[in-house]
Amino acid sequence: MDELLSDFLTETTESIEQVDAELVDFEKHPDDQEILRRIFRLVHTIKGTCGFLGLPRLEALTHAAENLMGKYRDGAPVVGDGVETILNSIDRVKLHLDVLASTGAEPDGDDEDLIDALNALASGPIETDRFDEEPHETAKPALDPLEAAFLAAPGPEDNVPETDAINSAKPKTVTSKTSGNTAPQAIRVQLPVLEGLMTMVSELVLTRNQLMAISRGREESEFNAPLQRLCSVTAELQDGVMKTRMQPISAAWQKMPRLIRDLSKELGKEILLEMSGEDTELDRQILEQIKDPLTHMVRNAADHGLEDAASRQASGKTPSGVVRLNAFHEGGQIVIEIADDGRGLDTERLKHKAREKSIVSDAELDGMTEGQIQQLIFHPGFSTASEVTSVSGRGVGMDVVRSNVELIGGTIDLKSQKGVGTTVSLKIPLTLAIVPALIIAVGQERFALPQRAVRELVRVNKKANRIEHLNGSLVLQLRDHLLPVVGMSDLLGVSPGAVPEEGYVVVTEVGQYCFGLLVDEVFHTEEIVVKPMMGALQGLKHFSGTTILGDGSVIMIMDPSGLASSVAQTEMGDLARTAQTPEEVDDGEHSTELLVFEARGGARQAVPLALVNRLETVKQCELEHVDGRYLLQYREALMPIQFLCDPPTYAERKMSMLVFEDRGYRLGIVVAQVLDIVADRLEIDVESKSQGYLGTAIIKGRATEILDMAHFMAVEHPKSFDRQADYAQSARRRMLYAEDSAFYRNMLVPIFKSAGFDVTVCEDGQAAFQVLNEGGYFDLIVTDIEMPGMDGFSLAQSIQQLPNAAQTPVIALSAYDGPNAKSRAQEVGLFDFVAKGDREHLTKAVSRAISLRGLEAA
Amino acid sequence: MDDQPQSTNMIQLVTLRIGGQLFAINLELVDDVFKPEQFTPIPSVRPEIAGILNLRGRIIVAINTDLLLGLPPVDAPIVGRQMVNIKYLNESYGLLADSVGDVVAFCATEIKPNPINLDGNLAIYSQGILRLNGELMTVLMADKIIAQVLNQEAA
Repeated sequence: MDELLSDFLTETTESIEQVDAELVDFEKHPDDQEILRRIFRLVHTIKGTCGFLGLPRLEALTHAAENLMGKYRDGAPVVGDGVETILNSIDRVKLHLDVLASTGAEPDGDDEDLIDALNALASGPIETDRFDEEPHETAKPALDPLEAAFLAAPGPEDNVPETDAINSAKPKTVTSKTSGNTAPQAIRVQLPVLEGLMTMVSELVLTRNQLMAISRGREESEFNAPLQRLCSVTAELQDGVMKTRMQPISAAWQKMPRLIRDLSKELGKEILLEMSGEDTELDRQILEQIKDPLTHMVRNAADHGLEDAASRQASGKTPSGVVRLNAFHEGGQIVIEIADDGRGLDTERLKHKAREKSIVSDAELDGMTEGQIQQLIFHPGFSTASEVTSVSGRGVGMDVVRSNVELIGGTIDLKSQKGVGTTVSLKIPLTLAIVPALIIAVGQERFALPQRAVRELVRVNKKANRIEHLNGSLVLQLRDHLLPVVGMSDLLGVSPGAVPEEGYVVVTEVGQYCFGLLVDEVFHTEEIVVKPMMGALQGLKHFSGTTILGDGSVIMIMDPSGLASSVAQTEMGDLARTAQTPEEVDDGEHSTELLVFEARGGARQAVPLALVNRLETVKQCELEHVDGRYLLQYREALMPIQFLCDPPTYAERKMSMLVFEDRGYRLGIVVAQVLDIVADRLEIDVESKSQGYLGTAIIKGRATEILDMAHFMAVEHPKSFDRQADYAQSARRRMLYAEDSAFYRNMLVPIFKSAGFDVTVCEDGQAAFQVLNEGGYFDLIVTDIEMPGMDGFSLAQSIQQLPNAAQTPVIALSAYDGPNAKSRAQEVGLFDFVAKGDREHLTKAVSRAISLRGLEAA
Repeated sequence: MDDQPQSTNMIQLVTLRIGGQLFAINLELVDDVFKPEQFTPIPSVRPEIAGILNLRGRIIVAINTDLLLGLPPVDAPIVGRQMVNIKYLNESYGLLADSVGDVVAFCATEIKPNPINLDGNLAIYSQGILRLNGELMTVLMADKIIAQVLNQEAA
């Protein structure tokens, strides 16, 4: 008997019992529509499932019963006979179910007697209406059961994971035993009960750890033996409880054959699905989380991976493509492979795409290995399919798959060979609840680092294995590799240990990236119980949870993927940058990395490092003077050059040049000398009088002018700004506009929209505050000053408390423009104060606010 | 607590001092009052969150109440101060206090509305003002404090 059927039996037996009870109730209160509806639903579900499973006799019977109940539901008077007959039918269904359970097939014969009785009752006084009233139930029985079956599908993905989990150990044998009397060897347990059990076991593990910690201190103790026993019992209990959460992966795979069938029809390709390792079990919670990524990847494999029959034959393959799913255990992890024998990834096309979408620079591309290039498909906004088909390429890319997988602590890897196929493998932890972790110390603080990410430990000191500096970044020569290293004390802002740059480097691997974490001390490994992050702490990106150690203290669990993204930010530059949202960048202190350089006349100027694409040196003689400006042939294109210092007179003289790139437009800025890269708060104290500068800020104690890159870009590439509308889809900024006058709303909203904003309009300050208070995030707030209720000043003042809005520039509009208002505006920290009619001033203020905002976000 | 029957109108308040000032929290909201014995700061977290600690297997987020209420910062180590533990959405939060005093009963109608010049940081959390032994006491809406802490994160 197949699993589907046994699930159906378990479920239906339960439903039937429920119906029984409900019917008795119903007989007592025939007017209770609520009861009737419930019964109707139950019977309907049974009917649907029967249709789906090919049980015609049951289907016919339940259909007739449902029909009658449909009548009652729609208001036909309930007669005693009716309830009786329905009860009889239910009994008959039960009978059939018993036979079904023991033989695996419906009994022979039919149920004409009951069906007739039911129909007679149903068609009684209002027969003519029958088909009109119940078109869903009677007119389309062929479609409906299928739908219902999917809704009620006893598939484990739905609502029977527990039974399944227990069945799953040996599904075949258990079900055949179970089916004898449907009184089940599998019972349903409410999820919270299981979760509660899990929590208790977790606590037990903690207590055991505490005891162990105490006993570690004493050599000889009478507690040792019982403690040993406690240990093993706890371990077994933990295993046992863990098993209740386990489900075979086939639960997630069940719908794959169907998916493949549909895909093969839709795409006109012949596709074979091979699955192995269906019995591999993993945590229910994890299973839920990988279901969608899996489906997505199977779609991908079928759509993008496999070629059509003709081109397969042309390259000497079998006409039908193969998608292979495989799952197995490996080193405490589950590995799931999704393989196809299709065309493989086309590295050249990936490169081209990456270049086109400016995801990586050419130089980076040149330095990338095949493997790294293939990894690009996990980059946000990257889809290799040249055209979007209905199957895949709906904008849900591999980046979403990756983030889903990383969310549960898994990693995703991709191997592809051109013409041979692609294999994506997911490595997923067995469970999320208890993980082995390395306990480390940074300064005075201890942290847990999940061991799955740890590759090795290297002791570093001044003599051997020295940490070296490359332009401020730490690196470690590890065998023949240069390993980027992050000083954890810097990253976390914890006071460092006694001896700087001594201690241990924990070599950590996340996806393809390998990096080192410099910590002061490494203690031991411990099975830690992962407690989810408390609500108030959820925004921290370096940590994924908390745990209680053996000694009772609470420590934070580090999140390797979160750390990787910080490392990538500092070490791998562009790759991670585009993926950042402004909130993530706010690293607690809102500090911005700035490239400080010397410009004309020794002036200190700076530009956010994130905007700088490359640093180059050029010779004066390489520049060409055309049409009154300097151009440089750079990467097979002409790049305009701006001088921020006097051009040298000596042609061979080398100059430092900063290269900026924005949506494919490049600009070179020649400076006298690059001074430093510093991280500091970017607060512009004095606004600039001259064009091209946002203003002056204090950077590392010295007044420094901040470049307005938007201005230079606009000067050199006026087109790049004209084309902003083209990019509006991807780069629309969000604006909140509070204005009580409909006249001004009508006038200004279109202007803002055409400037590339998504405008949220609020009719007064209170409403605007509401929107922000609910967590709305905007790039710019424009507010009228005079509004009923909360005016613009109070709005600006009150949003200072909102972390999502405190940093947002506020531009105030006002009809009156007295000196009082000006000073008040400064007082409440308004970005600018613009008279309502002054459109030019307004546009300027908006673009200035946005470019400043862009800097801070970068 | 001598006359229980009238309790419909009576509210019981836990009195506490934060930054020297007298406050009260409705007893119904309070889960526990305790002195933290150990304590783990969290790197790079918002200043309102002091850190986390373990109370009988539960993890509690300690909140710098003084900062949140806009009071002068209390410069004492966390260990040794007292903490009022509030359960909120199944999680535990600890409001740090200098000291926690008695439980007092008041009639709900005795609570006077906030004076309009009450500092805005405090006013949003204050349910009203009471006088206890000649001293003014602000009744805090502890759940609102925690909701605010959570909100800021979500934003």
